[in-house]
Amino acid sequence: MNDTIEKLGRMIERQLPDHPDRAARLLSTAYGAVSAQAGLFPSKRRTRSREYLQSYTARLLSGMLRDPSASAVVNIFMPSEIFCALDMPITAPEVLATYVVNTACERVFIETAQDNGASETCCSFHKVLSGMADSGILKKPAMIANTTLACDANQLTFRRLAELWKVPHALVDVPYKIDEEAVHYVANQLRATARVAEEASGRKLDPDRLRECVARSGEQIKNFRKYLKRRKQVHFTESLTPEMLHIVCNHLYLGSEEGLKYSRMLLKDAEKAAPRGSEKRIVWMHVLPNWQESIKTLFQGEQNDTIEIAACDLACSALLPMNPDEPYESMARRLVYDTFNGPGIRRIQGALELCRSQEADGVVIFCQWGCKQTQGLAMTAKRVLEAEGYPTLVLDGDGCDRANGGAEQIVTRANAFIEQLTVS
Amino acid sequence: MITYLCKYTPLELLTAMGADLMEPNRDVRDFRHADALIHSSVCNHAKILLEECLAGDAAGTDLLLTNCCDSVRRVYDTVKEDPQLKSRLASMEMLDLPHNAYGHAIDSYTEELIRFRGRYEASSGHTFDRQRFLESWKKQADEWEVFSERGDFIAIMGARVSNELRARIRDIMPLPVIDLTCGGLRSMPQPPAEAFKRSCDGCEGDPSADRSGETWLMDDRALMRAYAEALLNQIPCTRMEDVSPRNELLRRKSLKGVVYHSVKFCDYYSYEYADIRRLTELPVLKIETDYTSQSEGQLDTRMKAFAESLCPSGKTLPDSDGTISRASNSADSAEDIFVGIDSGSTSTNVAAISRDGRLLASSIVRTGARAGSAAERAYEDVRQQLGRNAARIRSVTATGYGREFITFADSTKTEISCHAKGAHYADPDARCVIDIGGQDSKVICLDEDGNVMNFVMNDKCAAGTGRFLEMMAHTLETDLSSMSRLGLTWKKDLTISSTCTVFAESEVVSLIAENTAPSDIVHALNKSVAGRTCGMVKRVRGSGPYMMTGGVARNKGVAQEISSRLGEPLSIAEYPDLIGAIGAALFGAQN
Repeated sequence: MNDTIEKLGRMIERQLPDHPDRAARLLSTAYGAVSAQAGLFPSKRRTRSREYLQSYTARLLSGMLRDPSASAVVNIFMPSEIFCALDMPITAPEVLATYVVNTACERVFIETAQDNGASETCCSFHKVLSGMADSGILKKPAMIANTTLACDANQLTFRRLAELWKVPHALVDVPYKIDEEAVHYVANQLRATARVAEEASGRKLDPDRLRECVARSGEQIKNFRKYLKRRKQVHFTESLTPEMLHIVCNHLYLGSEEGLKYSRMLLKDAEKAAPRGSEKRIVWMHVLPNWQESIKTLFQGEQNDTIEIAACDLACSALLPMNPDEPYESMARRLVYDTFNGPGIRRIQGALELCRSQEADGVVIFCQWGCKQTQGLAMTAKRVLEAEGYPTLVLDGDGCDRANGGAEQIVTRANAFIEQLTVS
Repeated sequence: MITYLCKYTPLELLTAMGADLMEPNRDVRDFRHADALIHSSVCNHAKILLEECLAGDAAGTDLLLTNCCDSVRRVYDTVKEDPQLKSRLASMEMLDLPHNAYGHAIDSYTEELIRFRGRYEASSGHTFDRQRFLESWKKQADEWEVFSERGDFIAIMGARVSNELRARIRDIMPLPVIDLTCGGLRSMPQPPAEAFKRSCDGCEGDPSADRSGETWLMDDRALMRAYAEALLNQIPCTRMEDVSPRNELLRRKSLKGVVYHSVKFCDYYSYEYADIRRLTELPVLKIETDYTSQSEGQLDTRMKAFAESLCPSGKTLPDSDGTISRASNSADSAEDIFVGIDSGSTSTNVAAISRDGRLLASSIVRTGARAGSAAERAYEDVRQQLGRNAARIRSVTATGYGREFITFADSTKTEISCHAKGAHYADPDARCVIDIGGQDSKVICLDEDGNVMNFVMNDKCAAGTGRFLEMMAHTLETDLSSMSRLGLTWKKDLTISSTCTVFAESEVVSLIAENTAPSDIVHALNKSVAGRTCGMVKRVRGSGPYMMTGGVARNKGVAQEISSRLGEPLSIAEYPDLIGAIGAALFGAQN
């Protein structure tokens, strides 16, 4: 992390206790600058698609920090098409926290969240969001919406934020059992969520617009599936941040024009990319610590051409066809049949499928601090994946808190794993 | 035998099918089996289940879980996907528990229960006995009603407590204790009256009618739906969507205090504790355990201090062995001397005071391996300082971790109460005492009379304590007094990001390797200690005037950082290490 960012982070930390509005303006301006830079002067070292989505995401966050009153704070699995059809910008803890850690000021929010009751062992993404709300840097949005998929932290954070901000809260309970009865149950809850969003936004949801959004989602998912087919034949020089962007785009931006545009650009980038060489290919499970230089150095083709991340299971957990004529059922099906829902073996099988389709050489299971879903599954997944011939590394770390980064430990483990793969 | 964990498990239904029930809820020595199977950061209670499946009473039973939390789901996956582990159970099943308690959620849980009932009847060969079911349901509802009408009590809330911990809490608290955690008393309402009604020829609707030829008025599905609704509408655990009924518990007039428990790596019960603190005036003690018997001493200290603060004035609490404190009955005299001994993890501090509170003698020795011997040495030192006046010692009161090992003490008192007493004596204006000792750091809020209003202690982790600074001084190859000075001359504002002592040490090593100035490193360490300490002040809603006690109060860099973070001056006691001992002596004088 360079000195300028460190200085900015410290400046925000200093301003926060007494001048949260000033800190919000600083952060908003910084993200505005990131957006402008990526949009107007895209780096030639990065793909066009990455620069485009980075610019869009930074712009969204910048706006949200300035004035979130027309937006919604949601969890990453919440179907986005409803909000898109109502022109409500949305954001999720994973997006906010990833930007915040890359601005070197996450600790102050995490400490604020813990001072206000968050458990130390809770997911850091959620703590950053809570801390931003508690400290007053993130003002109240129009509403909160979350699904119970995929983790317990959703139940805690979003309920509490709704109470703190005193804004409407829509909860979508996703059953553990995977069948059409569950789809029906979830679809009805999504209809109720749409009513809450209508009231919060003061706009009427146009069914045709919703169908349009769902149709766009379908096309975006189709494009991403095509990209995955192409991905196994090519080599990209960077992968940590793009995989994070895939995660965000394939959940939070489904239904948006920007999401669809990104998927088209991504496909083009993949078509232009150099054919794959002898580099080893990894399937990554869960989020990626794209703030951590040591991990970037190890897993990005840019600096190290022996290994690259071919796909991430969280970005590919629900690439299902969408039917615009049944928008609610389609969105509900995506939730219910998501590989992160139900028994853990579904998620392992999803990763296995990715390993096969991407001709992967190994798997990294990234145990995000506080994520019991992933931590609890890691040893079982390692056993199953290795039995199928995919060497697997369980890596403890944090996607948004440098305090849990443990750089030396992570690098040693990751290095040993890379050596294990590259000699075999 | 059915092994279960969750209060939403249909226990009455199982009883009606003749099942024996077992709820694994014991402390374990360690997690040697579970840690080989699942990540160590999964909730410790969920890991108990793995221990029980492998080496405990759950082996060979039918495992019935609900989809209640991430950790339980993953423990279920772990067993299910491991053929060897799975073979240790007769069967295993998970019920899909909704997150809310109305409409479709009730229908969904009803279907789940009916399907489960069918499967269990088929596999066990037992049939559902409706009469037994209703009796069992009614019995549970009666128990809840009895609780609802009872007198003053203390509630255990939050995450479930082990059987052993529950028994300890009951031993220590001065009032009856009710376990209202997710593993405690289930708040089932009475079955609907129609459920008991039968019909027969000529006597339709008469519950007392002859049973021959009779049929139940309420059909089976309606009964199961009523049962599903009753289960889902218990006082909810915090995984459920609507947790407002939990607040009703807190409004009960007969509730006199709450022991709020959390389990290591269970995150569900964190915000609620903060809310109780924020929204009610109830005395609350927060404790966290990991389902092992480690740190019993520290837990006892907290619980006894809490009990002391709840206890009506003049009433003496029993010691852990059940005996009553042996306070001196000697006649009042201006010459009487009272001794307090604070047996801490690093040092044993002894203070001798006169009845009017003058400090007459004191001694500080390293505690070492034997708390009792260190106390004897320090006490002897004080006796020598007092010379002939030693004969006027009227009482010896022990406090601190080692208090139970000081056999010559007349009485014991927790260090929370003693620090509060001592701090109030040293500065009657102080309302918030920050005490950082060797392995403990604590924040105590006082009222104007010096009574404990609220307190919080660090969990079993050295971060933010004197031991943390001691370890870092060792890494920096300096001593604590040099460290105190170094911390004031920093130039570059660095941050140690790891909160864990071990990882922080490796950060310090990296900084040394980068030729960072020691003063900058010490300042970063002071900030780390101050950050944790001020976090505790916020958690306990402390407000000034602040006073700092304990050995770390002598570290000017730490004190300065804490003061700067609090935005208020911090008064340092004249004898910061002796405050606990002085408080203990004052209790002796008071008795």
